[in-house]
Amino acid sequence: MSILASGTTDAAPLALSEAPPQSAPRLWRRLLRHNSAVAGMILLGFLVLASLIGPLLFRSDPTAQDLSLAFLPRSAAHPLGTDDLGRDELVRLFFGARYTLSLALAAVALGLVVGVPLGAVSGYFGGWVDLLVQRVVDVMLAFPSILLAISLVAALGVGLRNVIVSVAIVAMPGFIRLVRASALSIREAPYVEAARALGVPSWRILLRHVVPNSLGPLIVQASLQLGGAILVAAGLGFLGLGVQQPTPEWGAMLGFSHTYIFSDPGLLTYPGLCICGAVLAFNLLGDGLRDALDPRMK
Amino acid sequence: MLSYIARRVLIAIPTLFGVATVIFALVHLQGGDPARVIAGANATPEDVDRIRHQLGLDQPLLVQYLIFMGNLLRGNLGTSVRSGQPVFNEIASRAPYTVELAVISTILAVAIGVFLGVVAATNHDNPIDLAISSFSVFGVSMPVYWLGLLLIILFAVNLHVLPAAGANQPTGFILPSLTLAFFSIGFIARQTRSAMLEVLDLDFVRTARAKGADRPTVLVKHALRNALLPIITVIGLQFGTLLGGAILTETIYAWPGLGRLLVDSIFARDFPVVQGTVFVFAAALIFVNLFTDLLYAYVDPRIRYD
Repeated sequence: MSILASGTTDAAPLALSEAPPQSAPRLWRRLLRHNSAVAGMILLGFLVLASLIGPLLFRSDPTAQDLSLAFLPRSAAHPLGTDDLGRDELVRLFFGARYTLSLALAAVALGLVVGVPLGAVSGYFGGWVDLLVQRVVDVMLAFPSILLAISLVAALGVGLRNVIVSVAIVAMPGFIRLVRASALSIREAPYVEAARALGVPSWRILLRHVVPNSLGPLIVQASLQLGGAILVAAGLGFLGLGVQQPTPEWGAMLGFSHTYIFSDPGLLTYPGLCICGAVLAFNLLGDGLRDALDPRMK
Repeated sequence: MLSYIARRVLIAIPTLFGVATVIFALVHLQGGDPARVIAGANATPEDVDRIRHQLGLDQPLLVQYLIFMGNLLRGNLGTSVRSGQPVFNEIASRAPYTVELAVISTILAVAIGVFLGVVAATNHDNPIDLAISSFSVFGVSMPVYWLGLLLIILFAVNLHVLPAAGANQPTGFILPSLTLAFFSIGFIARQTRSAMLEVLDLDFVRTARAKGADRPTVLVKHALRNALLPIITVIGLQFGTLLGGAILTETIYAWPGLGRLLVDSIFARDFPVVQGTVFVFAAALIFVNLFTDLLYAYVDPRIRYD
């Protein structure tokens, strides 16, 4: 998709040019000078805050139905009105932020946990392992990402766990490619050769040299993939193939409001705005991180 | 050149083979009895047996796999559980609608995206660049399913100028094509901008300017021509998103293409049609990637074919 693939291509040259390791404070300073990074961090901070504090402010159940309260307009009691089943829209959006953010984090984390070791082993050892892993990656990349997610959910069944697994599988090829490129670039480097000559075991070289070498591009890629994961997961929810009702997930909320497009267009404005804002936050942050980590940028 | 083409085509074949294997596995991934899942909750045991036999699910797995692959090679994608029609016919009748959307949006996206990217690059770091760059990052962050709904509200509900859904009216393609093109416009504009910025810094552009070539000539003949290579790659890269976006866009606009066929078939548990449609989508993406690779090699004389 690809927004997911875009990160791969852009980050690849970074992995190859051996970036000097950057100290965290220096990275911070560069990020804070970067307009889009700051915008992304503010947006993201706002979302995290909303997901943590929002549900505490309104102690109402996001799934409790009361048909006598359906389709209420905006009011003091219901700042964004109520939906078709009389549930407070704002409360559902707050809880939705929890689902959306934690779902994307879990999926990308799973993608990293599986993708990084596969990429490192594939690039470092080469040979038939590399060949096998790369052919599998080719096949994964042959599916448009939302299609791969849809197919997996269609086969595995809907629900939170399967959505996380599907989105993680979609995010994986990008991580594998990236770490592999980095491993290939330093496999013959003198300090790695020296480590080998000293008898350092392979797993330790992978852990101490190969993975840290790809850390910069990995952070960029992970940020962009978080945006992509939100898009794909909400897309599944929108189609009715993701997290199921009555869970207040943004994509599913948008999908159900589709029916009321003529009578109550507000119901599809808010969740859409939230999804777009969350994706925008990670994309802006990813752009900022890429520039801040790029040794060519002054 | 010919041997280069042959090798690229040969590399695509194992990928296609892998895709087919994944698609075969999809039906068996769910654990449980696929025949029962396809038949649905209210099916009698006789129905389940009939479907199991009809789809060859009573054969050993390896035999099923070989039959599946053999049929695929002969272009036989099976029979729809829902309609009883060959899957191939169902796909053939829907594909033109998706191709129409994909072609129109790609043309739109390339024209608008390249234009915006060039304008942004030539106005580097001034308000025009900022406006275009903001629009581009917004474009790649916009969920296609939300944009589609917003365009319906604006053009169909409020302004009454375009139909909200369907392919029956001659103007029906406009909103779905715009929706689908939006991401690609942003994506192509971003990449064109950075490709142009890199080229504009190079010596030969400065030389062209120094010898007095006028601005449009330098921009188009010298800079854009050389920035074209990364742009071609990007057009191939965005095609996957475009195909994925088509699935969502067609659902929103009730557009009778392959994406809608896929989603309807998933809900109807019509697995042969799901498998066939997924295969066609993946094959289209493999083909377009192959095509852009070859185009890239053809356009760039620096790439050696051996």
